[in-house]
Amino acid sequence: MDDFLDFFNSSKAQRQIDKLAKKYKGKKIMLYGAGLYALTLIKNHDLSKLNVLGIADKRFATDNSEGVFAGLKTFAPDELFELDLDAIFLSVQEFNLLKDIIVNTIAKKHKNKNIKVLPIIKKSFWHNIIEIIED
Amino acid sequence: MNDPKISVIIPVYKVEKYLRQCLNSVINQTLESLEIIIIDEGEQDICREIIDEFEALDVRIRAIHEGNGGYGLSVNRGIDLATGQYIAIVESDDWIENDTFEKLYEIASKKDAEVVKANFHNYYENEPCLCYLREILPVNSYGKLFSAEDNKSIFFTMNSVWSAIYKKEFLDKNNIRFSKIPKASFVDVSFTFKVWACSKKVYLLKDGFVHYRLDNENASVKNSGQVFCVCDEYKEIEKFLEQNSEKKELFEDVLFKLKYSDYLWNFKRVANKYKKEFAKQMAFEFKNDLKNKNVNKTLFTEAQWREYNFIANHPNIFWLKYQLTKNF
Repeated sequence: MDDFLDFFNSSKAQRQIDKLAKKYKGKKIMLYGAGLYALTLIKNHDLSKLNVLGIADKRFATDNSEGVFAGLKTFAPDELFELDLDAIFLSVQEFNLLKDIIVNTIAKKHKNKNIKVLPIIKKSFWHNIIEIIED
Repeated sequence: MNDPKISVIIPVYKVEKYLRQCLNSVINQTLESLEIIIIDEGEQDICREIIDEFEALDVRIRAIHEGNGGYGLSVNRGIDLATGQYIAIVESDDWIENDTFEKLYEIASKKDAEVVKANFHNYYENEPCLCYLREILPVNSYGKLFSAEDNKSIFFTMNSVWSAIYKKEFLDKNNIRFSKIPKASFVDVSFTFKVWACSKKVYLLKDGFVHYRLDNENASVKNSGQVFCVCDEYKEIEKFLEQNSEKKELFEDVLFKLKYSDYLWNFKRVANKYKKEFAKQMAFEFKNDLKNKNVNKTLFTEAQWREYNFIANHPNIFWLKYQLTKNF
């Protein structure tokens, strides 16, 4: 959990969440990815200004008996097609591959053809440059 | 002990917080015909006391106190000593369900299987919402005997040598052991490849029995300094295939695809300061394979094949692109 906390702190995660809350004010949001990354994010940040309907993950297709993850309602990927959604925020660190998959599966078949798929937290380009220089 | 059904090998290294839970779960198995071989890697911590305590408690336990030769050498020692019909490996920071070996052995003996493998549960001590059944096995392969030749997808499942039992005779006959490099990491890579390449009778179970701990800070996967161990594992696989021309013909395509996937995983895993050096190593090996070996693209997707060739020819640009765009 500490590794992810460092990542969130260095990425100024709360500031990014607040920006997204302004941009997506009143929009219906689904988080995707219910692992340690998501848990650390939810436990340590204020997501209340985002209208998050729940959190989806492949694993809830096999077992969704709990129905709740870190206080959020859980969904199997197949359940998202018919949900009224404006955006899917990816709550995983390595989001590029997952983004491709979600865009080509869920987003393609979703009833809202304009559904957005994006990472909830990303590093800045300059942050990556600084890391390269430091190494 | 007369012919135990399963020899359970437990390598122990810096796990004093978790060892009791692990050993309790093993000695309380519903299948009693077990031989429990604990290989204590000799760290100066409280593990020795815990092992002595359990050894006094259960006659099936045999403890070997060795120097720290590493995971692979420890398990090899256990396999060599084992007298059971089947071999199981239990990680000393994990714990297993009480009926694990009863269920695995029942199938193994009924089907005369060489390997019986199950899924497993992710386990975090204090985070129940992260504990769930990880289905890593190919879903269309449950409940029937098959060989890796018939179903190559088995090679591409996550390495998890500890969620299976292996017929001892099968391991001995095919001379399957872990890499003998002292203190090496990721030695399950070549072991797993050899197991699948040699097996004719594999049986997979959808259930999970092992609770795989993911919150152990001492786990070797978290050591981002072990940079080139994975390359040694692939050298070992290449050596194995060179010595087995029949297997080479059947599984060399698997080797190249696995090498690409594992090297990429390792590139992302190692600390930033090693990434450039590792990208160069990837390029060196991929280029060499493309030039001198029969690299078959059938197991790659188009995007993977493009990336494979790109890494081979432009490791510095690959590294820079990754560094600039990761998490961005």
